[in-house]
Amino acid sequence: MSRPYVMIVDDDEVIRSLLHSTLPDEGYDLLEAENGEQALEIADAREPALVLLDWRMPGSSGEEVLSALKQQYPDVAVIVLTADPEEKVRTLAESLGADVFMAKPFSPLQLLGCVERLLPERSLDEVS
Amino acid sequence: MSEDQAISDEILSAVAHDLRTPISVIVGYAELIERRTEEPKTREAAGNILEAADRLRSAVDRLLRDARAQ
Repeated sequence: MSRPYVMIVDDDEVIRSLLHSTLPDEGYDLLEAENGEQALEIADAREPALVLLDWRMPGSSGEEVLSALKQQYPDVAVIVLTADPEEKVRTLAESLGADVFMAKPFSPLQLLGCVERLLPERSLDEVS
Repeated sequence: MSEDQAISDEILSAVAHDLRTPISVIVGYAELIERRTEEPKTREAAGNILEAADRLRSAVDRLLRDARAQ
């Protein structure tokens, strides 16, 4: 069975690197996008099972990317990461289908727990 | 919402992003180092970084809360 893809979407290279370091190379393959447009192109080609999505990015915002992803791939799980966790942002993200809303700074351990909970059963089997 | 209020919200949102993003990197890597090393002094150093970053995060939270309340 093929391994699922997990896609990291953040315009900040250091945050992408941190997220890469946080997630173990087991059970899934990691993809990276540095903006919303690239994220949607990669999603079309690879159909990731899970997306870690920055909310505030130049160009297409996290809001636009989340909306497009959930319309095209309703089963994709999305963790929204934001440095501005205002209630109105959370409400909007949840109304667009975000599965988890996480404020920056985030705990890598907490994030890893969310990733393992949200990934399809098959990847958890492969991880264990 | 007035136009001035919308501009003010946008500025505060940008400031929040620019202050909290580097704190995320400090907290994230310090937690990974603390979790992955067995060397006591390195663990202690990572713990100290986490404590300092937590104080910084609290200060930023207070500043942003006060600015939004004005």
